[in-house]
Amino acid sequence: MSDKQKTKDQLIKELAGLRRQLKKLEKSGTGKKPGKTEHKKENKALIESENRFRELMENAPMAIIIINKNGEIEYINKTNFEMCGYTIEDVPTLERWWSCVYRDEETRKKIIGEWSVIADKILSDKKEIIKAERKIYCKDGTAKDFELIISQVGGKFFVLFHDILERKKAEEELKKAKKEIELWNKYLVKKVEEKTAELKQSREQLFQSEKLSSLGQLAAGIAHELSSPLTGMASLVKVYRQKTAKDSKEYHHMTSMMDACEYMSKIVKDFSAFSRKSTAELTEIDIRDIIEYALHLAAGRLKLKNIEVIKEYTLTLPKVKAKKTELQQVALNITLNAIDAMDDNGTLVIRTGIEQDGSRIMMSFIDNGCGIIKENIGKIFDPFFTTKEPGKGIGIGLSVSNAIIQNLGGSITVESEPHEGSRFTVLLPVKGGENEKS
Amino acid sequence: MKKADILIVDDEKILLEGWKEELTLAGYSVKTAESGKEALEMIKDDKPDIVITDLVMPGMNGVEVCRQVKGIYPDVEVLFVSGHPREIEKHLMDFLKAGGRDEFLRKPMIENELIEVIEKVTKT
Repeated sequence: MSDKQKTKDQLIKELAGLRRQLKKLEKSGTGKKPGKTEHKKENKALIESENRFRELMENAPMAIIIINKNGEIEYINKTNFEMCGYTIEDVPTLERWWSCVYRDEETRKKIIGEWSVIADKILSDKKEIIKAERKIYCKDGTAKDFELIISQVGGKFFVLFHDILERKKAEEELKKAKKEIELWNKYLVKKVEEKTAELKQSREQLFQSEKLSSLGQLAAGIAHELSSPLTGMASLVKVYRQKTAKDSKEYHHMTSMMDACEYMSKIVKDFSAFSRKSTAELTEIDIRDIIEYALHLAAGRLKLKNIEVIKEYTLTLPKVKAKKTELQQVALNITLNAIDAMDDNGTLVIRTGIEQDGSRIMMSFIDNGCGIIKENIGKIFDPFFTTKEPGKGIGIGLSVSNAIIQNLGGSITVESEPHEGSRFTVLLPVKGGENEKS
Repeated sequence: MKKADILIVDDEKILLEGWKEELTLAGYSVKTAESGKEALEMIKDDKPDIVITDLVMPGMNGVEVCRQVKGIYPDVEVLFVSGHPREIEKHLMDFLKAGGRDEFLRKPMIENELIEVIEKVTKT
């Protein structure tokens, strides 16, 4: 137990003693009259007790004020003077006290209002002890936090002031620490969310690449198995067509068979390309050359549909490290898809750019074609997903392109509005190739 | 002028039939074998000008066929045919080392590439 606490307890004990003595005196006043010697003795004891009590009050480690019912301050102990600087002459009344220690008018009004409630309670019940926290202005202008303990002694208000600076400080620190913990908590929750999202994405990527890899093996197997009989069949059809009269029904049928063989051959070749792991070297590539090459290959189809190509290239663009043929395949796939999505006289805008921090370059293909409906957006990178009519594609272009770009540490994103068009954006790290897995 | 004698080696019967018909129609003289072993037997008494061999076959593969044919007749042109890109990449160097031609036929082959390649080989 601290010294302060001890003295406080002592003070409370003394107070109880004093109350008891007062009661005794009251009783003796109504009872028989004491003799002269008894009276002297009692007087001496009373003086001694009063002196002891006064000394204790003066030197108590807590500031004390005694106020009478009329609102006059009857006593201010030494400790109070040392703590707050006011003498009884400075603050002879409660009103004066309020105007000195509560300098803000609004606070003062509030506290005066509270006081009347406190005073009523204290006066109506002798055992009532009320605690309140107050910020008090000292005579020198500094403000201090106190806990006030208000009770009634002999019909007067007995107010103890307990300096709570240390407690306030501790509370502030606790508050700060709590806030810090909250911030940390928020940060950790955010981090966990971020990591979970990353994990989910990489799991999806892994799933996608595993799916692609097994599909690749399957595709290679199918391509190999079908390529020989298809080649032989085509040769036979070709030979017999050549031996048939051109205007005959048989010739016509054999031409249809040749067309079918060609179609099947295209699918087998696509399968073959899908499974093929390029062994080409990584080189430094200007993506504007890649786009130009894709446009060159698609020139016939662009012309057929009278599609206008608007190129918005950045003048300076860092190179990326990649396999040239792979990037050409990506640019061509996206360009051909855009052409397929557009009606005659459409417009294809191809834009290049670089991210603000210079870490990634961008190529965007913006068409004003049919767009992609919402439920298909999530599926367009799935192998063998296609909305094209039979004969126009088997749905591996985008999945292969996506795998190529992901392998380079980049990404392909799509934004689309049905009937308005689509925008495919390829982002590639400037120092590409470092993440290359093959 | 007599056109080249060609031997085609492949385990796919319909391919042998188709190519035999196509090349025959173009004026070549064509024989076929369904395995490397059969092909080596056939050439013992009948030297071809060109051998076209499949790369991946049960038993003897295309590289081995090329090596053995070249061992018997160093001047016979041997070229391979395949529909398997990974196998092509895997075996191309060995095939060239065995003395084979660097032109190869990639299945599926629908247009007139077969005749074009053969004409190119016979000219050089």
